[in-house]
Amino acid sequence: MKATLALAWRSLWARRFGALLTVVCVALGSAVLLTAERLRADARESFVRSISGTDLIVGPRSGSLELLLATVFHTGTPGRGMDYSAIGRLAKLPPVEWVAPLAFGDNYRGYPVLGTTTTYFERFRYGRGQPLRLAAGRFPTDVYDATVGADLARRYGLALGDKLTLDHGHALEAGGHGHDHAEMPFTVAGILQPTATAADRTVFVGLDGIEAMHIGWDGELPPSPASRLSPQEARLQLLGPERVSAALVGLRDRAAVLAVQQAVARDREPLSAILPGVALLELWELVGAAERVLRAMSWGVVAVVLIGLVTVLWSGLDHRRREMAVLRAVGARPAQVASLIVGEATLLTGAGVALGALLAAAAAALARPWLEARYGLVLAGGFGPGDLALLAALLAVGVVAGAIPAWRCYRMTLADGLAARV
Amino acid sequence: MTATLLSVRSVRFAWPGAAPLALPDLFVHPGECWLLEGPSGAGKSTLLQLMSGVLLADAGEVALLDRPWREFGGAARDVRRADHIGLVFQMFNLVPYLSALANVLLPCRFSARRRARALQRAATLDAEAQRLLAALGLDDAALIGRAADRLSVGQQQRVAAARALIGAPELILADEPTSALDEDNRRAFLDLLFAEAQAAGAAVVVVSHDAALRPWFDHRLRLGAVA
Repeated sequence: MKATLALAWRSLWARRFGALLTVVCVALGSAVLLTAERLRADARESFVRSISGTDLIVGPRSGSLELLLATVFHTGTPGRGMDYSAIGRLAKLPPVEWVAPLAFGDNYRGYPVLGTTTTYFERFRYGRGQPLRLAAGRFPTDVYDATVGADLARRYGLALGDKLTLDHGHALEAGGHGHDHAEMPFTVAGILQPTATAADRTVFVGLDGIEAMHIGWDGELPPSPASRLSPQEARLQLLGPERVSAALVGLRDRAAVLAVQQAVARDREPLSAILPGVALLELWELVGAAERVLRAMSWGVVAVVLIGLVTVLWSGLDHRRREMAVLRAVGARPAQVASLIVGEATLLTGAGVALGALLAAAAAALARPWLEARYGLVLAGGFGPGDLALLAALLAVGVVAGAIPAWRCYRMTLADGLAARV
Repeated sequence: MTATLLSVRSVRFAWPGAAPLALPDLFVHPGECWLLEGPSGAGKSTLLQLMSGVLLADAGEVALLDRPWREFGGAARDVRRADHIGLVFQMFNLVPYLSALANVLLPCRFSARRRARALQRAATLDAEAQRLLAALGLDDAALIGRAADRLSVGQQQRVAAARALIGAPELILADEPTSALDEDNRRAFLDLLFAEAQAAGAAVVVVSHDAALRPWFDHRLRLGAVA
């Protein structure tokens, strides 16, 4: 094998231009596969880590998917919500460290408005434990303060001090009435850094802001124009929230998670508590079809590249019959002559895969600052064992693909013997 | 040393779809020079492939060093051929992407015996290859480092001869080795081949239809045309 690998190298060197093209093809294919696999893994990771540091999500008893979509992705609303007194009962459970109430139900140009407390901004984590960070300004402190996500700020050119008018309902399309809360404009007090989570497209306000907007409302019915309050009048009538949509809960001791879940289920209100990590993984399995398509496509690229490799080696054999016969005459066995082809495939694939890994790493290094700044998407750095396994798999597939022309070479060499018929 | 190096006895061989060839008996002893003559189709090349163990006879026996080729499996025949036989063809003898020197060294890559015997004659394989090339009139370092496909046909044949001789195989088999050469080159090539083969104690069997080669050989065998 050593003898034939050295010969394979010399043979490729003699055809270095064509060989280089093949190597570049293999490199591009491997780079596409590696990058796609990494993006896939990172997308899954980023999805599953849309929320971290939160042990339980508590909300009205309904589907866990509904609760998850509302609290993590800020879409829809979890049923009728829960009485604010339940937040106090939750906070009193011994293992509970913090409770962050969430109130949904309004929108800004169709984007969700989330009313919450300072606990949320202190405790909420996403990704690998990153907190929400401000690009400018502050988190909501005043009743009419709004802190906006990075996407919203960019899309609508929002700056500190700008006025926002919010609408009632989840989205303009789905029952927004058009500036239902027009008489109570909010002020942009802060702008968040990108997070690659739903926070980028959310307007954050205080719970008291939500309350102020809805004074005098009867359920979904706005007050009559005559009884509408001015922002200053509303300020004076704030009594504390009556209802919220759901709550994020952090525990002192993660081991108590089941006990707290049971305590929530026994509450006098019909509540349920879900584990966000588990629910997110379930949801990913549901929406993971795109992931499988991406994977199938990148392996498709690899298949095309390998077919090209086999074609190059296969069509080269006809020109090389004489060379094979000469090798046979100097004592190479047919299997050794065939292993020359496998050796060439190994060298081509090996060089291509190595170059592809470099390309993928370079692309990731170049794209990382941009992805992080623009989308807040944090790529995993370096090559993990998964990447190495993938590289090894590629190399193995290349060697196996080389066996196809090598088999033909073996048959030809055996049939030709020493007679170099060309 | 065995008395008979190569023996061909009552051999018949048929290519698929062709009339069977009956080949004459032949006994080659160490150091002998044989010319196998005959018109095209007389089975000269077939006999060469039978002698080198690439083909097996349908009937009769071809034996090298008293061991019939039939006793060995395919891989063992390959090893045996690499160990004991040096081959020279009509043309296109060389691996095009290797240098002249690397071409000469090829048998030492595949045969441990040839490598060992070459090292008995010189300190390194390169030195032995250079010695043989120099003896065959190729002593220009630039020339022997050149890729084989950039040598003239005459130079290529001399490289092929050096390759057949390296590691002192007992038998040199050559198939029309001079047909691509002009008169002067042919003369020089054969003189050098025989001098080196004699120095190494190797027997030479040349297949050719060229009657002009006769003066170089002590033994001749004429193959008849197929009826």
